[in-house]
Amino acid sequence: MPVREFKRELPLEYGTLVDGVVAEWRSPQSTNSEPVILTERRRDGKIEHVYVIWSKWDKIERVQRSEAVMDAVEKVLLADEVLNVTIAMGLTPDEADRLGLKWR
Amino acid sequence: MTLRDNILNSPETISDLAWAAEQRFREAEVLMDARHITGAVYLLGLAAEMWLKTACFRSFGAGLSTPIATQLGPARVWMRQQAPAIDAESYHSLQFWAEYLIQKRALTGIPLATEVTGRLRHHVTHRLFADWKVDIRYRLISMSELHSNRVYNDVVWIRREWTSLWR
Repeated sequence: MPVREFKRELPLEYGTLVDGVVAEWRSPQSTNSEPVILTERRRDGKIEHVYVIWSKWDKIERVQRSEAVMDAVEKVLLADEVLNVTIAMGLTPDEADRLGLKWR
Repeated sequence: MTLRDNILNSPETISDLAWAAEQRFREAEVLMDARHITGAVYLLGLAAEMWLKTACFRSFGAGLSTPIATQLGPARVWMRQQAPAIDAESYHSLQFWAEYLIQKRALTGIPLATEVTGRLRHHVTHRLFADWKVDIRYRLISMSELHSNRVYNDVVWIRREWTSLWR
């Protein structure tokens, strides 16, 4: 059997999660129950906080969730809008409830 | 509840980071006094990393209870766009955090004073970044007293100034 290089730094589902957030963000009429994307804007109307509530975050580390949300943000927002985002948070429904987010 | 469970169930916050930085610094001083220089330098670098991160996150609107992980994705993307040559080194690079602080504050209209920027680059970008890397935890390394004193003096500067870096 040939020797093949195995290289993996991110969980296998990372790209799928990013794509899932992007797809939901681009479908404002979506009737999916998850993921739920919450954006919080500054006084000048620019998005600065992004919360994504999704059961699929369950097995993903918190830092990677933040990175996945930001990778999705980069695909959805304009480059200069991306720079305004200071919080990117991925939460499971239970975690969002514990945090007191009103998302349901 | 085990220590592991405790950590897993309570994501670290900006407040945790600031307290931990002070704790690591004091532990480093004990090691320095006992001439355990490599361990001391390792802890001093960690303290510097945490103070720099805290200054960054507080500068850009995070509260004391904000989870740290939520800040890392935005920092990575910001630097990827604005300073792609600087590697985050799994978020441990002191150069990454110093430059993120300097450059983002400048671009968002809250620049650090010129003198502070100069000192930050002197102590961190030009010295600590070269004198410390998180990977030393996995190495058998002997360090000179000169090296450890230089690291100590640079970190003492950060410890003294870190609150002014975000106000």
